[in-house]
Amino acid sequence: MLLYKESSQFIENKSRHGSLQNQIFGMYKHKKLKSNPKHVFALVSSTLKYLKFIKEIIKKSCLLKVERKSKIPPAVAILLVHDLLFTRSGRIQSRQHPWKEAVIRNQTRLRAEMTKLKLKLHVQSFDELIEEDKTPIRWFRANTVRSSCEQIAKEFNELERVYDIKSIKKGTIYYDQYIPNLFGVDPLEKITSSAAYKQGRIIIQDRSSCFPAYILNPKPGVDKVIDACSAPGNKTTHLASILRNTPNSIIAFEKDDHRVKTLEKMCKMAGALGCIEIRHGDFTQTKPEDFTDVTGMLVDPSCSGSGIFGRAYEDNAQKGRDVEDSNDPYNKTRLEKLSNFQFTIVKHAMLFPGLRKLVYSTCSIYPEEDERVAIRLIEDEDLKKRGWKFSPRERVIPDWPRRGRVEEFKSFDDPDRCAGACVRSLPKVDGGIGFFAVCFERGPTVGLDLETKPKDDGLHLEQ
Amino acid sequence: MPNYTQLDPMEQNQQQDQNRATVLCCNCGVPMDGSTGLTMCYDCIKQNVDITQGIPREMSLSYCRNCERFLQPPSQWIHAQLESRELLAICLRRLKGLNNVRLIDASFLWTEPHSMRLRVKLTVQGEAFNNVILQQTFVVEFVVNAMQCPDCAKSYTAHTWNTSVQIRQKVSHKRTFLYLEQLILKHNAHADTIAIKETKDGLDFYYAKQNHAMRMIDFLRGCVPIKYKKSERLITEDSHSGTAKYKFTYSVEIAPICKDDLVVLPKGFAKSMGNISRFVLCSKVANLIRFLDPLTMQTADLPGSVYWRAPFNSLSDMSQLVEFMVLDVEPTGEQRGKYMMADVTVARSSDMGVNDQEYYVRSHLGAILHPGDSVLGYFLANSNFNSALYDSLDTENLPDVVLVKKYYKRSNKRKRRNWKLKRMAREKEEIGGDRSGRFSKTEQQEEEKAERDYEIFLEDLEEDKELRQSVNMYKANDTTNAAVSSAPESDSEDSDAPEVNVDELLDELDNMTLAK
Amino acid sequence: MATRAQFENSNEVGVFSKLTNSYCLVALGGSENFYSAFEAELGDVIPVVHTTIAGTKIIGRMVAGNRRGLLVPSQTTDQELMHLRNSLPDSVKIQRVEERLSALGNVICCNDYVALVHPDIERETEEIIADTLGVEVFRQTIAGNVLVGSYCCISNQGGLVHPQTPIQDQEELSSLLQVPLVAGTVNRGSPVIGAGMVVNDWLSVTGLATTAPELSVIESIFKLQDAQPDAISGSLRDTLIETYS
Repeated sequence: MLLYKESSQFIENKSRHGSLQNQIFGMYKHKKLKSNPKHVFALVSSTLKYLKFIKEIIKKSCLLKVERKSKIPPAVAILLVHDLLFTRSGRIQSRQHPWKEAVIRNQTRLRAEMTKLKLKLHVQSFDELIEEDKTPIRWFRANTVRSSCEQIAKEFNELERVYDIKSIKKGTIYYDQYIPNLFGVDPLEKITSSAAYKQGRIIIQDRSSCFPAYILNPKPGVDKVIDACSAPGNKTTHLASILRNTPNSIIAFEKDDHRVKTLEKMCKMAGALGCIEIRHGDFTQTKPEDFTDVTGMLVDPSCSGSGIFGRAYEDNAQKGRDVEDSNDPYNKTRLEKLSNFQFTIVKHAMLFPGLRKLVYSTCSIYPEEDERVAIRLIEDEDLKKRGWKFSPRERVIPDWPRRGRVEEFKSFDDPDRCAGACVRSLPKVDGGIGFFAVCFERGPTVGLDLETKPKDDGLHLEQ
Repeated sequence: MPNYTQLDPMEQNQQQDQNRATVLCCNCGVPMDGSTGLTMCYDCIKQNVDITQGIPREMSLSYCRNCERFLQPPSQWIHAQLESRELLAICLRRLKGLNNVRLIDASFLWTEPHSMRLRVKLTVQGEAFNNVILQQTFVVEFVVNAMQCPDCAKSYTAHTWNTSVQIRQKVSHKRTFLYLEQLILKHNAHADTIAIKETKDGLDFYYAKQNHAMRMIDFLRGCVPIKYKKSERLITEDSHSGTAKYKFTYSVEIAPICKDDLVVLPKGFAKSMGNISRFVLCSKVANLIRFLDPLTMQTADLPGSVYWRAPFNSLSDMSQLVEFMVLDVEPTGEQRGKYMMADVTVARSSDMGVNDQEYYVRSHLGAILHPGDSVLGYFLANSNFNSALYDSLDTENLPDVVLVKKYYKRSNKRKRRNWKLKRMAREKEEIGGDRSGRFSKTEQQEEEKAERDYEIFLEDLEEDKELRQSVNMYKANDTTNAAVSSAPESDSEDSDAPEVNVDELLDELDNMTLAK
Repeated sequence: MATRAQFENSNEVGVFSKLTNSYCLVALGGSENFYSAFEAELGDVIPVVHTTIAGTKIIGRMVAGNRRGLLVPSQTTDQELMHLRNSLPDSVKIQRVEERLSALGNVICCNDYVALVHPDIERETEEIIADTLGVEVFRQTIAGNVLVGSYCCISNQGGLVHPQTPIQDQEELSSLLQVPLVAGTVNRGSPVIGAGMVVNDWLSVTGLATTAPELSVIESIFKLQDAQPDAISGSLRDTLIETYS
């Protein structure tokens, strides 16, 4: 019963910081949790998934009313009913306890109400109503620091190669057409247990989040780049791959203590510590004059994360919200704050004297954080003086079909071209998380109004 | 899941309304709406349930072929045309079980009259199940059974009566009989009467038993001065048993003296009645006759039995009354009852504008006469009487004019009274038995005369409060009459005409004309 | 096979008998015709037990049961219980139920997989029903009537419900029960279906007043046209196949 009692605090709507996982494991570390945190996480996350239905079932069956005497806390009742009805074993993991008995006493009624609810919703299983929480495709990138594309391809040669993103299923592998060295497999493929993953030869990274580093495309030995918000380090190591692990070519900033460790771990795993200098500190506090040699910059600041779908249920449960809506006043102020922060950090980055090229990216699907931030930047007088312009579509993954929202650029002379400078992806539809990226350039050879330059000036790994 | 009910191709519209469950009619299997709670379709309910159960489909009606009347049970015979409302009412009243259903419509289906069948189409509504109202149309056939109504049976049956009472009054008018009729009605004295026949100068009453007739005679004796004679006729005789069957006839004669008649009393009577003047007016006829001396207002009563010791006739009756115009009234102050002595100057109405002949008369009507009024009186000055009693009178002292009663001019409108009388149903004695002579001139005249008599009788009632008390008067419930009589346009000249106070009237009974 | 019978001049055969796939109860005191309606069809397949329940003949309204078990009201005497125990197959669990709504046949309507019960039935009874009869228990009403046992009749093949049951209710019930349902009547328009008939997977007995259209509905919905006891027992399902419509 301890498990349920302890888990119940995560069911109740208390506003907490951090993901559910972090909360649970954090509490475990601080000895606040006696049960196995894995069990707690499994129980709570699954319960949260079915919370709506469990509440309805409990309400319909009048469980709490009938068993008034046993005084079950509602949250515990929810967990108990979850274990009774929604787990495969249908067993409540507890010894004799009046609460357990109270629920068991009513199990016929509870089961009946569950069946009725299913009928009412016209489903065979509630899973049909749970939005698919997993990515439709598991993308992973060959870590060219440790390995090569060919080697990885060989390593996964038992998987049949397919040439269409839609035909990816278990047992097949897809070589991405936009990002070099990127492979897509079915999420059920046990990539994480493979030797290549464990040894850091491959890095699991969503396709969309590979865009910024690929767009930035620094030249090894020529460019020095900063990753302004680097944790967990996927993009940083991607940069390292592109820069062929050239020493002292990357500076990675991260302000959070905890996340710095993750970043370090990732970089070590990728074997890229040779080229990455990790700086634990706030990027906005840096002095641009100290980094005159930096020519490229990757800015992926904190955002609403609305393009990410993995964390949705726990987040919703904690915020007490069902749907994220940009019109929601709570979200509106939050978005405003976020976009201000994003603008500030990117502007700060653009003030670096030697900077030639900057990629701004978010994993958000709200225009407030995407196109509008870009527009604010391009219209900023300071930055205009410094000659910052959008990179033309020709140099920003020109084949990628989903570009910026044209309606956001209405005030511009050529909205289509401006929108074309942005790259966007929608969650799931485009085979991964929702994402936004835009590239700014300055200098004599760059800018939208300049001739198209061949994009062979970067590192390309052969596939 | 297959929805079985919707598989039926016949129920196309069912798909439009998903909310309704379909059930199959339990009798014929046709799909129908189950939400109504019916388990049988309307057609089957109609077939299986007969809400007209208990309503007979064939009935008989009794019809008297002679008087062409239909019997309305228990004992009423009603005139009704074929296909008339009255006949329909009779038919429907005969039908039992109609009170269990609601009658929507009824009409006759045409049948040949000689078929002696009446076909009535009825539409009724009734509750078949707990909430199903059915409407059903059906035809009931009435067989018209020809039979004789009791009235006709009586008229065709000889020897139904045993005793007859023949009432006669040898006067030219029928007013006494009209009064008698009202008395009889008021006292229900005709209860045992089998038949009443109107004859010249009187009425014949027929009775099954002799004592019924005797009771009638006793009643008459209390009302009017009569004398009677009994006669009997042998019908059959059984010499073996010594029994005989007779028919008795009582011949009743009513004194021929009526109210307002001018009478010359025989000397003996006048002396015995307080030495009243012999030249008097008859002021009232009941079981005694009351005389009034118009010159002295002295009255005297003559009992009927005394009268019949030496009957005498009146000198002059109402038909001889002449209209005079009152020119001046000088009351003398002498008053007795409703009478007041006055010296009245009158002129004959027919003399007005012709000559200036005026008459100065002493009259008992001083209380009600005013100059300008019309008054009726006997004009002795130019009358010639053929009477032994008159001859024996000292004619020198007789006045030229004897005023009898005030004359109210009544417009035709006034004839519509707010009251009416009950009449007795009676049949006329057929004289000669030839029906074709029904509209002969004499009969027409007789009818007119009877009407006039009746009108005079009604006026009498209006004028004489005392007379009214012995008669039942009923409110005329005809609203148009009331409206007219109450209209202010009634002329000023007859505004003083007496009226009957509504308080004296009785509510009308159901049946004004009583069966014989 | 759909037959018609009468018990002591009454068409409400469902009142005086209880038919399941593994046994049949009939009331004492019926005519030989009544018994033969059952015995002719069931005699060599399942036991036909003549009994009273709590001393009454209205056994169909007093008990509820299916292939796996039989629930009898608390008023059932020990002798009756003993007689039932001796007569019914060993696989049939017999359970006496302490329930305020003691006419179990009126408040419980079940086939071998699902039971519909009166909404006010006690929770303990619900558990007993689930345990003894091995069914899912749903508290339901039928066309607004709480006496589900009176107003519907279900087998593993189909079900007949009160004629005023709306389509949505029928669909809901049908998906609960996993069998097709149809609204209909027995005994020439009687909506009291549970009282008017008994049914199992191969035999239905209805009141003598049942008309041909009613019989044909019953035959088709309960799939009785060519049903045979052995064919049925072969197709008995032990688990609820989740094929929601």
